[in-house]
Amino acid sequence: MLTIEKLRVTHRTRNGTVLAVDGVDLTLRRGETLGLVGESGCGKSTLARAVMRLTPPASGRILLDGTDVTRLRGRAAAPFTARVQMVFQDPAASLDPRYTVARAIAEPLLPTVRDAAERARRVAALMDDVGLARALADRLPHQLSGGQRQRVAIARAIAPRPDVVVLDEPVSALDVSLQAQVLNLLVDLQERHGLAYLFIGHDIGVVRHMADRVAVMYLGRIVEIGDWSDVVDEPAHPYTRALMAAAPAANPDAGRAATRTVLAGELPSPFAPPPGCAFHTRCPLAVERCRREAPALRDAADGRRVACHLAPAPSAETNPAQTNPTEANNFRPLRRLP
Amino acid sequence: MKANNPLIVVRDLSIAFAGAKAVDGLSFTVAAGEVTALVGESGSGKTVSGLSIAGLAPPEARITGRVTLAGADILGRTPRERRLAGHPAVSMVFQDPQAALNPVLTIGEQIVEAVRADGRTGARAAAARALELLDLVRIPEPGRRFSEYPHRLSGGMRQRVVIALALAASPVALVADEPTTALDVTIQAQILQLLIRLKDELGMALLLITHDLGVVAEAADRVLLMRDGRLLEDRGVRDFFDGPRHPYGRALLAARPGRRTRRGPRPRLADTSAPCLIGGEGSGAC
Amino acid sequence: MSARFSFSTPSTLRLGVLCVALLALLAAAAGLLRPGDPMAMVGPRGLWPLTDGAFPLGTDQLGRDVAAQLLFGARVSLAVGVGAAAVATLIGVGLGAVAGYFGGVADHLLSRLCDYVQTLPSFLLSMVLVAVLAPSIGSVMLAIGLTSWPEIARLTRAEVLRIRNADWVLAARTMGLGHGHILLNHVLPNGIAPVVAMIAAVVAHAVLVEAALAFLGLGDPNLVSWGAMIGNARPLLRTLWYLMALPGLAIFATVMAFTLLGNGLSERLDPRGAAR
Ligand SMILES: Nc1ncnc2c1ncn2[C@@H]1O[C@H](COP(=O)(O)OP(=O)(O)OP(=O)(O)O)[C@@H](O)[C@H]1O
Ligand SMILES: Nc1ncnc2c1ncn2[C@@H]1O[C@H](COP(=O)(O)OP(=O)(O)O)[C@@H](O)[C@H]1O
Ligand code: SF4
Ligand SMILES: [Mg+2]
Ligand SMILES: [Mg+2]
Repeated sequence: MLTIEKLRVTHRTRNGTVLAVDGVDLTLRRGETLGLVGESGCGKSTLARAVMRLTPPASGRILLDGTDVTRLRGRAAAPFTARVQMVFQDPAASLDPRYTVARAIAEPLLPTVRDAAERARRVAALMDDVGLARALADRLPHQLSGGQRQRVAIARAIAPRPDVVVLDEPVSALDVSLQAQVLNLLVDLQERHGLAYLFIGHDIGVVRHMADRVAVMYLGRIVEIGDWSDVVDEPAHPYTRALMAAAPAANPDAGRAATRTVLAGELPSPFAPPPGCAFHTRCPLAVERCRREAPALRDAADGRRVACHLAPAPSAETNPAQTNPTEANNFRPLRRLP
Repeated sequence: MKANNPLIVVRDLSIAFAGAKAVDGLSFTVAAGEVTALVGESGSGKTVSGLSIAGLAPPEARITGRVTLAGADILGRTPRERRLAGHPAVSMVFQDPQAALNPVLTIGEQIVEAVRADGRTGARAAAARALELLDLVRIPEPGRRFSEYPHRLSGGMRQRVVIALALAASPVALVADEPTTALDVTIQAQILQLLIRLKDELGMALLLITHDLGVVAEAADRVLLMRDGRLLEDRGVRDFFDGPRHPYGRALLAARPGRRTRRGPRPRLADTSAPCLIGGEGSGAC
Repeated sequence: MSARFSFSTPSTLRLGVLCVALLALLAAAAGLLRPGDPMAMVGPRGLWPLTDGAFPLGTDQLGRDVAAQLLFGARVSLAVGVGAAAVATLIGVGLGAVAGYFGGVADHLLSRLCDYVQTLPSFLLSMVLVAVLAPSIGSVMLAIGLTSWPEIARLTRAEVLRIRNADWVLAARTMGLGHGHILLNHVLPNGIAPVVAMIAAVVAHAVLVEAALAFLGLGDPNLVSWGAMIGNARPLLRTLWYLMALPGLAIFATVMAFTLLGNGLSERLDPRGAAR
């Protein structure tokens, strides 16, 4: 339904130009949750903002049911605006401090629902939908708890009856207990309204819980994408493995920080990304070819796609000549107990 | 669990702000060479407890009870008073490394300042010690980083500097308040590992304040579970994860995402907000 | 115009409102309290204050009632202050908001224009404008307003720049709402508090400039003005000094009142501050 093609987004800053999103291809199917993970600064939010048409892309297309929405302006854009909505990371910052709960939820209805009484009715129904007591209707954001604020933001996002909701780290700013409530709510709403979610997160546990498919991003590019259980529990790309290995274990028997191998170093400067495979500066498997040649995102086992020179092709078993055998030996999906 | 003799003993600690109790009758011990995790949801009183142990509680806090460090009563004394009284130091690492560093001083200047706070170290010795500390927290090229300003460093590097600052007083115990919350997963793992290695190398006690049960599973030896200013559980970490006795602890474990399996439906996350979970032991009725 | 005080007691606003209301009341009731033409010679010359019940604040060198002149002068001062501030606000907030919100060429042009206006000596510019337009209360208002908007424009622009990238503004943009709606409902209301404080400061500034213009004889010749009173009394400084001191005091009180009002308002307009 939502298709992103060869999307490139740049940010111009005083220190130069950052290619924050570098040739991303993604599709989001009706009713599914696509998780997007990666370290901060890798371009997740920039991608989200480009999908929301808050940042114009340098090149590439964003198609909604076949219509390119990136160049739509004014009236032509209106039918598509309502169909893609967003929930921001920090519920305290994404609500206007002067708007009451009811007014905030009613606002996205202004362009389409002209009748005030009808709007009020819709707002009341939305508040029920996200589990906000009607008594909160006249409160201002600072008079709400973090969880309640995020419920308001969610109600506002689903108000225009969208097909796609972009969730940019919707629970990162919340406590564990509130996180659980909001995640449950998001699952319920998805079932009730058939929403498709682009779920951005850096907490692997949360993405693992929510996603149907997971895409992993590194320095503006997708390095691996596939079914959630494949990508999270048996990652194929060396970066995905490192990322999953860094995620805190579910219990003390599954891993202890003192003994595990953690990914060394930090994200390279996005102003001067390394040539070749952008991950080669931190990759434990890097070979000479990685420094010269950027790997393309190509099909690998289990129907996933991986951008790594060493990833075996799906037909690797029948056609071993394609990859150097010693390199391929190093390359075993990492299995981890859930 | 090792049967160490406790380094820090907290007895009946209560902290009130303008009449409202933030912490209510807290008792626990922290052993040297161990990671004790203080867990609980927002507002449960973790930070104020940590602050009062480190001697940094805000002046408007009304604190009662008893906190001893290696037998000496330290409650209500600021770090400076403790130093002058000859007590060993308890240092604090905060959540937000951005806020914990002075933006107009270089990394080196800040660490030198912290080292010289004892009033006995000369400028040259302090600079040498600062370099040593930067090396200790595994900052690459400490000589170059020494004269950099905090804004030039990444979040992970800043947190390393904050830890170096905390180590400047040669503490016997470190209170780390959500030291990884503001950081990325990969950097979180690095910082957690660093803290544990430092604890082992320097033989410190580490009181790790967090609301992230994953961090607890990774790092803690003992778990203290708090809610509404009260201590609900004090258990060894494996014990805790095998099955907390308190219903709130159980609900908290069941509220974590990530227990999903490839087959079967997505599990529902537990709701930990039920007030009957606060009731204390034996309120299993709900 | 950096005459901003850092009084931040909760009563700042109440005190400011009280003082301004009192001033406005006195100005409005001038005709009742001291009926007749304040410019008429009604009593003995050079009568000191508090010496004659008929003229509580005395008379000037021509035998005009000082109390009446002060009361009627308040009308002129307040009218010019508020009028000039209105002109400056209209221009400043309008240009600043557009420049800050849309950026680009609009922003560039505004910054240049501000630079240009601000490098001209504003008092001289006001003098020239009044002289060209012929001295009248309207031309004084316009002259002061036209020279004091750049500060308001700059502050508005800075506030709008700060807020236009807030998540809640982005959220409003994703709803497909128009720029006008967003600017008026989400951006300006959240950035206006410091601007309001500055508007009150502009009123105070305008009161001062009006007095200075009148002092130099560039006021409306048909109206009493505190500045003109001081100007006329200048040769008598050694003998009848109260003729300068009383209007001076009135100017000081008015400036203070508006400064208090501004600070009080800017505290009050913060929704989080109001709840505390
Ligand atoms: N300086 C203060 N003045 C008044 N109340 C305070 C102050 N500091 C903390 N409190 C209150 O004490 C209680 C415990 O706060 P504390 O900061 O210890 O919570 P916490 O467990 O660290 O939460 P979080 O996970 O959000 O950091 C809260 O109800 C808080 O509002
Ligand atoms: N408004 C902006 N101006 C300049 N650079 C930006 C801006 N927003 C993001 N960037 C840069 O773009 C890159 C991707 O950022 P972002 O999309 O926010 O990452 P993420 O959401 O994955 O943490 C980073 O290098 C960041 O510094
Ligand atoms: S292409 Fe090379 S450097 Fe990049 S992830 Fe694969 S092995 Fe590592
Ligand atoms: Mg982001
Ligand atoms: Mg805290």
